Amino acid sequence: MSKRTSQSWILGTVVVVGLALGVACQNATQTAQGGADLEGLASRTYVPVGEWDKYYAFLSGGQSGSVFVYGLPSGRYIRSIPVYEPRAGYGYANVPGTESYEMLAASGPMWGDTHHPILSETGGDYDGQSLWINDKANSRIARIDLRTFETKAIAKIPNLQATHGIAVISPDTSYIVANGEFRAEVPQGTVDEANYGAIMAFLDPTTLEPQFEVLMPGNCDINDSSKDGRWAFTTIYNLEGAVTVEGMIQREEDAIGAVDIRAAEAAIERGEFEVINGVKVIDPDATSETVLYVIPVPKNPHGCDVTPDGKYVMGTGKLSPTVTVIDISKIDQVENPRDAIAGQPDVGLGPLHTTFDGRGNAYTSLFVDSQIVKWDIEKAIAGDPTYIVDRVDVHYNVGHTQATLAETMHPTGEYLIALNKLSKDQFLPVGPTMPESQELIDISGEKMTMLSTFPAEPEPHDAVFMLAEDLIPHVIQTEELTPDAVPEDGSRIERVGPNEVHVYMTAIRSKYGLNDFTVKQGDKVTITLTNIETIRDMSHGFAVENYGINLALDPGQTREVTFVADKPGTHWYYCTWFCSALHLEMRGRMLVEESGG
Amino acid sequence: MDRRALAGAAILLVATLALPLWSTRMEAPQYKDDEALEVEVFAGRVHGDIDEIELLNQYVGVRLPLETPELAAAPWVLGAMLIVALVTLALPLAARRRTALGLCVLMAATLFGGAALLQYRLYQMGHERDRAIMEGVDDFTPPIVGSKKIANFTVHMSLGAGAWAYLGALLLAAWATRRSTRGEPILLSKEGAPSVPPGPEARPDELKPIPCESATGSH
Repeated sequence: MSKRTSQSWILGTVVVVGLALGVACQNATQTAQGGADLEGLASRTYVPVGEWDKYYAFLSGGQSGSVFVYGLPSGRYIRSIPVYEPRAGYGYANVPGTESYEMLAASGPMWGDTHHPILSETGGDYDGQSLWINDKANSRIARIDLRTFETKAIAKIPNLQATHGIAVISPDTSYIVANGEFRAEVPQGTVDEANYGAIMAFLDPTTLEPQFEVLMPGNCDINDSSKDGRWAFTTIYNLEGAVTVEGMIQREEDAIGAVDIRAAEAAIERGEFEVINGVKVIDPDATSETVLYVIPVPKNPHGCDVTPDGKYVMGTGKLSPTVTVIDISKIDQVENPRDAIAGQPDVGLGPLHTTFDGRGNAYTSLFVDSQIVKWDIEKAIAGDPTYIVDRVDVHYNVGHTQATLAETMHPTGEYLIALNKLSKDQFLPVGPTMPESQELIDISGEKMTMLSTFPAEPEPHDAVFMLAEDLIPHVIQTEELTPDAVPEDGSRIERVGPNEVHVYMTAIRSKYGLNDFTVKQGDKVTITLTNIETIRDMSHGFAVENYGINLALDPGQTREVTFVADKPGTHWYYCTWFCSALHLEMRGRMLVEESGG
Repeated sequence: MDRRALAGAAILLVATLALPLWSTRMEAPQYKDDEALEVEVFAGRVHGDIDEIELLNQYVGVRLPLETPELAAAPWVLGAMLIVALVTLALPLAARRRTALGLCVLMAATLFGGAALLQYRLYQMGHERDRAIMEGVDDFTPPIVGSKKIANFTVHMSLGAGAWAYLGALLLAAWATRRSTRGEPILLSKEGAPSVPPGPEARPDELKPIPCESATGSH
């Protein structure tokens, strides 16, 4: 009897514990996903194998110094576009004596800090031509050609320190405006705090040459332009002109600066500028017409965003829980610049950036609250207390946020990305350096829906999106042969000087044009290599053993490298882009004859 | 009427010279849709993604029969047929009919000969291979028309517009060999055959053309 009792007791315990576990597990799943329909959610980001995403997403790489391309809504990583850092895999700037290396090295260090990708516009919409990206660490800006997704130009901007916010001047990319965030002496080179200033540079979109610069008060942070091309806006903090954190947060108010581009151009025409380092620099205090309007906003603002309809520019609070909405049409009409402020809604703690859906709503990232807040712009301006529409939690400490095509005059209002600074517990632990996190949120409905998360290289700052259908027609798949291309029967070696040889070679499955070539130790060797493939995706590489060389050649592309053959002996060169069944055998020998010393 | 048939045959022979006679389309997972590899065989030349196919063929030891005597001869043979057709047009009826018969025989013989040679070349391509770099691809014989899986490719073979034009030319040439035709009763009666009165309902009893197959069989 007692035995039976104890058995029942054990059985009962097992059943109860089992049930409890089952319930607990179920609860855990539901808590993690808020009880959402997981299959339904998954289907909203699932892109079947072989099909394409609807959007390209270009994400800045922060201290990774590059731009990363993802597909949305899948969140699939598609490729990197190396900009300010060598990337041997793409044969980018990894070997002295190559074009990309010389371009990058001539502009500054082999590292950069990329924050803000921006896209070229025609008529206020993306035209799929170029993408620009700043380098905060080395005062540079670069242009990427979207036909090839390659960096085509890098320039150091004179007179400024820390290229931070950059923007296309809408609607037709008349300038690229670049903020120098750090205050330093202008011109640089002498330590003189009294002579500190920040620079807003107006650059030619193609050559990146400064057309003129404007000397600004405080630190210029993030910028944007009005949709009619007249205004360049920037958030300004540290009007104190301090050089310490404590000093920079003394004043209760900082500002949004509005540069009247027409007035600036007129000032240049009237000769109201000083040439510093070859650049025409306008001091707004010394022009006969007002070039700079300074509108007060709560202290240390961050984001600066113009609504798609071009009516408002918004300064997002950072240290203030507000977004300041400025009526652009009033800026040059009011006596007191404060009167241009249309509203100042409270949105939550640590608001950093604001983006738009084109349906009258704004979405603000809240760094401290770790949220995206959706609010109704006109309701907020009218003082309607119901202006907050929705909030969604993000993981964690969101910085930038960007909605699809929000920077254009025609946002699609479909998705939004939260670019989070911390991920903590969101991914498999990989040591103390956690991946950065990006979260995709559906904003097509009244309420936002968190769809998915995908990790990123350190560290995502901002993002821009293009509809795939708008960009695909511009993207090329094989390069046109350039005049320096090596023809199919043109592989040869030429001695061009007593200590100089030029090697011309083709690459095509699964052979180089030369099985071997012989040089003398100490020869300066230039190798010109053409990938003569004509079908897409048939890239070849060219690595030389123990010489640190790797070139990457897309179909039709010609690359050149120059080096000194200082190590005698046999050095195999081989293909590094897997090309064919005989990829491993695709190789040849550089025979370096020992010099007679 | 037989003149019109011959003229039609001549026009179709010109089309045969200009249009692809035979084509293949090679599809594989990484060569699909726009990127499928295509080869078109014209009289005297081969056109298409030859370079890419040659690059791929090196791994399986296959050589494309691009320079064969029959390919080189094709435009001359077709050109000769065209000249014969044109000359025949100018001949008197009896001679015309006999020459048309000759042309018909020549064309049919060429058709079967050409088809046999093509099939032989396809066999040769799939069997007389260089030492294959890659193993695992068995010898193969693609059909002239149809599909076949070869290595990672599904290869579709089909007749081109030029081949259909040629078949049309052959039929028209055969039509032209009929003994009697409407609208030429005088010539018919010269040969002593019963004259058929012309009329909309008139149907000569020898309407049936000499079948080319039987003509070929007799040679």
